[in-house]
Amino acid sequence: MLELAIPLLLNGIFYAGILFLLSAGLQIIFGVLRIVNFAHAAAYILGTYFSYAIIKALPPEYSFLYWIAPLIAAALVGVLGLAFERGLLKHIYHRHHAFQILVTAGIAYMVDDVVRWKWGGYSIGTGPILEASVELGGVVYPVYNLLIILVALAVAFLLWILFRKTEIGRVIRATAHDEEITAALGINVNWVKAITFLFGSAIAGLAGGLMLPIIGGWPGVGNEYLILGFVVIALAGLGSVNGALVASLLIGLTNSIGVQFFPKIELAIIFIIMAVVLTVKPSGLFGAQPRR
Amino acid sequence: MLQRFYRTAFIIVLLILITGPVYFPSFVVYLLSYGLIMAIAALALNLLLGYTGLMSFGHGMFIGAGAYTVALMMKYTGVQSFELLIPLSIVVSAMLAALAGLFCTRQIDIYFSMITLAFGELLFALCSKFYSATGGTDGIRVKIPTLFGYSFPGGGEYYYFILVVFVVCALAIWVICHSPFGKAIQAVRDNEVRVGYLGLVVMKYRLIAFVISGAFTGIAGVLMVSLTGHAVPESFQVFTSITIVFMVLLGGHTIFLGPAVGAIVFVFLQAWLKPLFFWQFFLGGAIILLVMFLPGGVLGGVQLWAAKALQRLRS
Amino acid sequence: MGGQSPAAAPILNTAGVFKHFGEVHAVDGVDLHISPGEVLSIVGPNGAGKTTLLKLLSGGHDLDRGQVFFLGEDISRVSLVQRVNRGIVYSFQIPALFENLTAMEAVGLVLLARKKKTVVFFPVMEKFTEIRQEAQEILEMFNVPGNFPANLLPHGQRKLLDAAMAFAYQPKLLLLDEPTSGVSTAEKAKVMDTIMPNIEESNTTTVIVEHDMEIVLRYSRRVIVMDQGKIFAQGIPHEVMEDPKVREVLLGIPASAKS
Repeated sequence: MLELAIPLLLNGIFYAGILFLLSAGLQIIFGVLRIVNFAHAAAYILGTYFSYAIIKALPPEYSFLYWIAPLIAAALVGVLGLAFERGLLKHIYHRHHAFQILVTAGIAYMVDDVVRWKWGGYSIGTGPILEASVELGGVVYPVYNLLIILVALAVAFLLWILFRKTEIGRVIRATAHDEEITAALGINVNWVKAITFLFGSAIAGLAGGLMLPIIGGWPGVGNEYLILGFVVIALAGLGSVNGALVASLLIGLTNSIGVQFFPKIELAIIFIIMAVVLTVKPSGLFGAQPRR
Repeated sequence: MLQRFYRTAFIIVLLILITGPVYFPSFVVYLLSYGLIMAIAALALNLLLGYTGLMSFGHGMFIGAGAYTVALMMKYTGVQSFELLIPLSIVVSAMLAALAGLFCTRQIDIYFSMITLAFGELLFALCSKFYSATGGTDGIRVKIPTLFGYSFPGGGEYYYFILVVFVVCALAIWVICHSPFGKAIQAVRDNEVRVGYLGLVVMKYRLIAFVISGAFTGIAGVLMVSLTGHAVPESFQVFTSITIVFMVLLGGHTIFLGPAVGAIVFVFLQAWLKPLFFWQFFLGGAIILLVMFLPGGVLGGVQLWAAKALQRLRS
Repeated sequence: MGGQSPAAAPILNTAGVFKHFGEVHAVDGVDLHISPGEVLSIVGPNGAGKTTLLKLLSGGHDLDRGQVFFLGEDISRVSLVQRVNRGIVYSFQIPALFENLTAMEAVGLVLLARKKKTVVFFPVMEKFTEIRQEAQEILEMFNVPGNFPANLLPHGQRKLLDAAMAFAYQPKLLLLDEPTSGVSTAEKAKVMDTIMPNIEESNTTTVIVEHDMEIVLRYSRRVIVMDQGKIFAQGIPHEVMEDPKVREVLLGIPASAKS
């Protein structure tokens, strides 16, 4: 029994980790910019492909640098995100939210084809960087996956420290809470928005880079995760990073159990859970604004 | 003066649509068929978007509902006539819309959009997974249904049927948009708080609008699957839904026929661009350019241009 | 400061209604009664709780404590939408209009709502003769042009349209929240001269929140002075206005100063 439970648990937490990395970015972007960022899928896929390019470019003697490829990729993605936000997005903040979504979706489509153009339509991959696995309670589990879980936890922890303990975190929270007043206090709100978008995109890029050795990459690879990311943030309540953590765990574990026992409808179960939660609490588990 | 311009333009377009199959090559007729079908879906979506103020990212689920109603009925019951399948799909889509609507219309704004998206994806997931019943990702092959015993020999004849259905649907949606109910949903769009102070329950109107919109989109699904011959789960997905939204915005969501124009323009644009290998790039770019610079869509732009041209003529 | 003894059973009365927003007691224990057919004004300095009180009556705010009775029934828990259906209709201080609908369509919609005929898909609204005539009459009574979308109307007409929309419901109790606010002093009389005759003719029980004392004196038969969430004084307008304590509250002139 234990040997069934442990991989189930580990897979669930692993999946939750990836979902959290994706949805955390979505949440902080929504919190500050009030945009549901469809371009997040682009951040993920670029994270994967940049990481791939870096690894492929490194000569074999430097294979120990493979570890930092996702980080560099994440930084690059962050910078691109910044450019996108400052160059394009800021011009449509005053528009109806649906138009903003469409613009972010448009970028996602464009990036997908850019990837296709540069790296081809076939899937790419590097194979596992780390072959090692570890034995836990009689079950063999890849160490790399455990590392990803650790990274997700580290990001969660860092975000927590950022928002609770640092000045910039306070500024971001203030902007998310009330942009006008924060601006009136002399804070450069534009800068806050840019930084937020940079961080959010970077985290998604990190996820993409981390997942490269596990699932590889192909045009459109981020889309399924994005959809699930939306489910997570809807379930969590838009804007809540804590909620994203909880919801990611819920969905990750549901997915893991579902795939094992109810493979046909495991995705449906997730949506059903979402429907039930939203019926009882329309603003999501940790949702801020009450919505009738 | 402007009115006469619009009326003549409208009549010319209608004449072209009616006489088209005579001189257009068959692939153009196919594109027009496709365009008119999506025009129905676009008009239906705009009932919800332009008139009620709700943006759905899940309307693909109704196309899928209509398509799979036909496909499953044909596969399992041998029913294959439009006169049965269209009413049936209306019922199925309306019921689906009612069920989804109960969850979706409790939310507003962005939350509404997210839930509709989730519902669409949910149906996609269900459809893909239940391989045995629905053929999974392969979909189900469908042949074109008959109409009161008449089998459509070719694309040209089917095109006329689509045109007729389009006109009927467009008229019906027009009447609804201009009826008391239509004014009520516009009031909800403009000031939902005030609507409460009229003694009306806002959610009720949103739900009804959602159901009507879904039902008409289901009709589009029936026609669509009969045209392409293949019911696929991708219909349920967000890409389909966003495409419909884009068509509405392309044509202009503030003018009644805008979405219809947008749908036809989009279909031709897509046909022109798709051979270019990276057409998604251009689609994305077009979406961005449209939102940034042409918020009124094609018809909105035409309106502005016509008004300016008129001014210049006068001076 | 004598109060009027209610001649007949009040159409609406409240018992100890409270509404607070955090620390602020917007409405701090109000016992109010409104007699059928009367025109009652509520005045007071800014922040006295006038609009909040009105919203407690209309259902726009939930009661923290206390009760509201309407036509003998306890409606404290009744929702806003239900209260409108029962005949309590509120008109906004900042006009809440349907920006893209014409005045004719907006009033028409109110009429349809009153008759419970909004979920009607056929015929188009313009052909709806049943309400078209009545809507036209109401627009004439309130001097609002029918064929412009609301967002093109000047402020004065927006106020009139808002009032017209409330009036079109044939309310049993009409709540007007500062019907002349934002209107130029020259226009104020015009606005009230348009609105009030309709109210008087139809004998609609009306509560008006106002700042302008002249309007209060001219149009209402009873006035309530509020201050800091409580009723400070009430009675016949010109009597109440003479009271130096009232003048202090309203005008800031200390009671001890000679008038």
